[in-house]
Amino acid sequence: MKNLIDLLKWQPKKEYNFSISEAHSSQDNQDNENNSSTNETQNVFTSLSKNLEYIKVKYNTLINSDIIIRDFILTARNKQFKAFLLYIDGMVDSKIINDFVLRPLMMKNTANSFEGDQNRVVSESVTHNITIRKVKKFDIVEYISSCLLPQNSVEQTKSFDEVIPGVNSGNCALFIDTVDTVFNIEVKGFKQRSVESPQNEIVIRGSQEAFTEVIRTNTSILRRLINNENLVIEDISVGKLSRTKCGICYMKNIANSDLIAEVKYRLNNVEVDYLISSGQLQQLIEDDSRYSLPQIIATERPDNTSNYILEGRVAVIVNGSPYVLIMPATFPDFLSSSEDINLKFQFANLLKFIRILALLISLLLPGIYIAITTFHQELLPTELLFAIVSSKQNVPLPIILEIVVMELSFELIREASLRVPSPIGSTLGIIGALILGQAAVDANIVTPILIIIVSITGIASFAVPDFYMSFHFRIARFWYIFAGFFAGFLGIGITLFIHFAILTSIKSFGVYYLSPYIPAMHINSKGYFLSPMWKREKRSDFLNTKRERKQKHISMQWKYHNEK
Amino acid sequence: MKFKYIALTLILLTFAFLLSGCDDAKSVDQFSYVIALGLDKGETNKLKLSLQFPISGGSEGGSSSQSSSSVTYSVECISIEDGINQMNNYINKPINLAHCGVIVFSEELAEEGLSTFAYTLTNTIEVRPDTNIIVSRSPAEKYLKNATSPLEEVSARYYDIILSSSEFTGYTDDMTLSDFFYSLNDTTKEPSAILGNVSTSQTSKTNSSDETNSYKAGDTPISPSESIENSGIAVFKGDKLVGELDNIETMCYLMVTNRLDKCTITIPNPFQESETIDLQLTLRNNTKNTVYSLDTNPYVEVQVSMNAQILSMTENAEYLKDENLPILEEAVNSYLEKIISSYLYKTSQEYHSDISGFAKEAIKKFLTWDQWISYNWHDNYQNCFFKVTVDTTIRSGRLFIDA
Amino acid sequence: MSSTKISSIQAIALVLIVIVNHLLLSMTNNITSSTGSASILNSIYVFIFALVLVALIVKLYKNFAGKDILDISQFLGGKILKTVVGALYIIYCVFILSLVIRALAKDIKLIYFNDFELGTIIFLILLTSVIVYNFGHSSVSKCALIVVPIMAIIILIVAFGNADRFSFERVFPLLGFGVNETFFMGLSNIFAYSGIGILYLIMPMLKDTKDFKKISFISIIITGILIILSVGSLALSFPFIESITEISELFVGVQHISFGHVLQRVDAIFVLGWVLAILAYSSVLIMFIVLVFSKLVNTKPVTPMAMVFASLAFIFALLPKNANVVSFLDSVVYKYSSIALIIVGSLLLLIFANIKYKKLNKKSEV
Repeated sequence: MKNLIDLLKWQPKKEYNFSISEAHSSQDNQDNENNSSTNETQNVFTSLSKNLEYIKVKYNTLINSDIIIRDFILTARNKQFKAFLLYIDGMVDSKIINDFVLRPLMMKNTANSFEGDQNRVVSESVTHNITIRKVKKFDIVEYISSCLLPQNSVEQTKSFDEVIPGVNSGNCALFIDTVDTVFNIEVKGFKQRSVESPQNEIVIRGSQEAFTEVIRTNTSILRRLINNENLVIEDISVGKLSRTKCGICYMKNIANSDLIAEVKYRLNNVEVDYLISSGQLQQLIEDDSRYSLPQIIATERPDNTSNYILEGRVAVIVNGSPYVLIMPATFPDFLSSSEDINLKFQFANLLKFIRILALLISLLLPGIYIAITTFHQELLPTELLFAIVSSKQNVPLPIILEIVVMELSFELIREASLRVPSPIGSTLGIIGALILGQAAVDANIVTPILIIIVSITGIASFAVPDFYMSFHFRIARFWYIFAGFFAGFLGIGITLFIHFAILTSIKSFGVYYLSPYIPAMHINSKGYFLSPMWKREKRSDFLNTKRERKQKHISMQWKYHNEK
Repeated sequence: MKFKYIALTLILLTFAFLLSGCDDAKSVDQFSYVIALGLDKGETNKLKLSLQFPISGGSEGGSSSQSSSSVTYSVECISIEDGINQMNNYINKPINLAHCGVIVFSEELAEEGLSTFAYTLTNTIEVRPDTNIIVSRSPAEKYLKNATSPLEEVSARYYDIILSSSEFTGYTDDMTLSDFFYSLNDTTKEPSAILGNVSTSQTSKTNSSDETNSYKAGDTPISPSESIENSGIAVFKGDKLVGELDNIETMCYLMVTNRLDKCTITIPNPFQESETIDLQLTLRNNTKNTVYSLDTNPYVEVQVSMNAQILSMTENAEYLKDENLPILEEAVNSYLEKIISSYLYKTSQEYHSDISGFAKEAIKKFLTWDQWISYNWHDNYQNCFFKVTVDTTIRSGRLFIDA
Repeated sequence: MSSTKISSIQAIALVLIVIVNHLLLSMTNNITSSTGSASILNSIYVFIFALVLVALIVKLYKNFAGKDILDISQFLGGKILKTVVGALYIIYCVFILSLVIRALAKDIKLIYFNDFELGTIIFLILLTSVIVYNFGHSSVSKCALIVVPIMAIIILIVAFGNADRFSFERVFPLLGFGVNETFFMGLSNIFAYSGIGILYLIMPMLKDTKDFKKISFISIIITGILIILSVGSLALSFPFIESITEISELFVGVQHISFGHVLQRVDAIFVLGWVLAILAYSSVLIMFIVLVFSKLVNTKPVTPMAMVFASLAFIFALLPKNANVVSFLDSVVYKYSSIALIIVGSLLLLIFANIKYKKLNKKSEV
């Protein structure tokens, strides 16, 4: 009884209100852009400690989990040099590093045995009792390269600018004290699932690579695609028992620091015993779990993920799950396919328009049909009305039952065909859709027009790119059906309005769900519809990124270079 | 936890409510839809209401031809609502007027005044404002019963098609309930309606002149007969029918009111005796109506400009020659001027009804509403003088330039 | 229920949603019936007058950045005046809320839901508003932001969908019922701009008070365009008939629209938009009522208050006995109470407050 009273009592809402601040002033922004430009030409220092310091800063090694720096003593001609190897875990073949880099460098062998200050005699001739020795001065760099690195591909370079991309792509860099040259040794050997294409996010023009279950493989794929040292992959383990490794990936110089901190905060404060998949994590860190709306993007496509990360969002990779979570997510993101940016903007916008149609159809069509047939018959063109009437006359069920039964059996077919082994699946689809539907019409259980409505709705719900989002529409559709049945367009209007209210009240990691449209901010290039590629100059405003522009004002320099 | 149970109970109650609501909700097949409504003067009662329903071919075995035909029921009643009620009782399904395509009044009823019906029908939300208004020279019931065409299944579409024919014949106008209602109340225009009849194939007049034959609805000598025909316009003064225009006068009406799409006329050939020329006319510019001198005898100037295309061809005809063209154009002009002025004087002197809406021009001369009302245009209209100028340009013939 | 700040576009939407709803219901009827064939001329004239009025308000508001009408009245006349003004505003808002909902529910029932009880429709609308209010203030204003463009598009469709019926002779006789009626008495049509009442309340919610000027002018200009377009299209497509007033002229306008053979009957879609608009309207008004009330009693705005005022509105909405009373309230009481409170009363308050402000400033300078 007390509980009942408590229930009726009004309680103030506990609101969790996080929003991304615009703390990062333009000055900060400029610094960032300046930094990256001055750093371009940095040469390798002669001092190893300086180099080490530089690399540590550059790669954020304190928080970056997969950047490995291996200190060791290099022995060359009995002289010992301090040195370190820099590589990224998961990108290199550790066997190669062990056998062909570290072993020759650290082991004392015959080639190494003579003393360092001995000069190498190139030729010796005795004339007039004077021994003339042509001596080549000992060159440690040359020596190492020619004697100590049994590797097919070793490059020497003096600037960080050339080293870092190499490291990012899976090479290891050898830094040696007192030497201002770096060896860029190819030891690539990341693990790859034998090239597998995405199962659920299929595109035509676009990479056919998908994430796998192993976190290191996934991070290496991201590293390769993004290929920039500012990509930070932080490790956090979630789950008291399982201690599942999760990697938080973001661009240090792009993503908003508040956002990064918030993601870390939420992940760190998830108190569960175990976590096996990203789907579980998604539910645990979502802003509002009351609604069926997805608030985090889950994707199995590395190219998609890289695009989002470079745009300033944060990705979370969960070990053991081929789906990477991306946050924050907005409503338009769920209606975008990763293929869109690969297509010319006209094609992409046509597809996007069709997806909006699909959204409206899958959400509203059955509801509107029932509203029209029950309350607003005059809306139908006369001929169509008579067609419906004549087919409806022999059907005993009221329209609401008809439509609910049909929708439910559609969901049933959908669910059942997921469960059965795939060879049978198509048979089931045929039986379910064709034979049952035809039989139901012939037996006067449903009207043919209803079959059309339900099938169009079904098809439209498949055209929504995101699986979660189409799920949401499937559920919401039933609300609209009931609303349309109870009160026609009044009911649909009410449901639609509450739907609006829910959409506008939801935030995903501090970003309003309907951004950039509601609240109407300055909508720069990233709206739902795409502008031409050269015009997409800025990152989304709602992300408050540290780097606003993603391309120069004139990106096609080859064409408009002279006009500048 | 408690909340869960309460929610569950609420959901169950909602479903219970839903299922009980199933009875209340009227689904689409539980109405009987009227496609045409006819009103006659009743024999035993005030009114005779006729309703035309489609018979949806009970698609047994899904016959693709869907041979839907219609059925017309009539009932004697006091008012429209009363009639619908009685009909409801007979049909046992609520009658829905939302898909009513035409409303047919009999001539007899129209002469007594349609004001009440126009108000009632406009006031009924179900009846669409774009429902066509037809005044039938034969009883409305007969009109509805004969609304069949071997070319078309009878349904709402049949009415759509027969009424849109005015776009290429110019023999009648597309007039709707809202047009009728608003011009009934409008101070700038008198109402008019489509004139319809059941054709009888016995024409009352024999026409031997070299001009386009002018017929009113039902007079056209077409066989086989016994089908409906819409031709001409019913002219009202206030809400009362005062006269009927035949098809040629309707053409003039359309020209003057600037609504003509396309029409075909036949005029005497100026070059050859007892021959005719057929021309297709379209409006070149908007017709300019001007009203001068607003005393008791208003003076109205009508300037019509037309484009014409010669349809007919005979031997040795050189219509498009430089010297022949003005003669032909002049012939067309004078013919049109003649029929237009005769139409205008007919409306003003015979019917006293300004259906062409010259008041719209006259009203421009007034600054305030009260001045306009006190001038009382509609009483002065019968004293109008008209000056009609027609300017026709003949653009082309058809395939032959000269023959 | 943190009252989060709103952006300037949302503020414009809040002003517009009020006006759009009145436009949908009876505003056009009221304007055309009082000015006849001169209604277009009159609405342009009133529009210019409204612009002047808004310019005045903006100028007077310069000294009171970030304050709403309650703060100003407290500044002017202490707590008592604040309470009086607040109470007046609340009564006015509850009154027009219940009036608008009643009128709309009546129309919707007439058009589509003859089997429904009037109370059911009103209840559904108010219930939805309270539910939506529960999602927070920012959600309400954002919903308004979604609905306003939809309604603006619908109004534009109505305005231009009837374009083939336009007959420009209908603006004659040019002066309608006479100079006096058009320009002097016709000035009372300024009530159409009663949405600027929102401007008096919106100030503390703004992110940037400097935007106030921009917000005021943009919202009034859009309002003016919508009013002139809808009045214009109706005045041009239908002859002026003194004796007849329809339930909603805009609906009658919609009834006449048909796009080709298939889309002949678009009015049900219009009703869908209508429902959205009224829902947005009632939640916005409830939000403002609760805001004013909570400011009066110095508490946080909470959902139960919304419930209380919604129930009040429900009761008031059911009070009028018949359609005639509703239309009297709508055309006379609403019109003159708007003019008295929103247009004249608040303006006077502002002017006096400015005078006091200047006096105080002078004293402090001395």
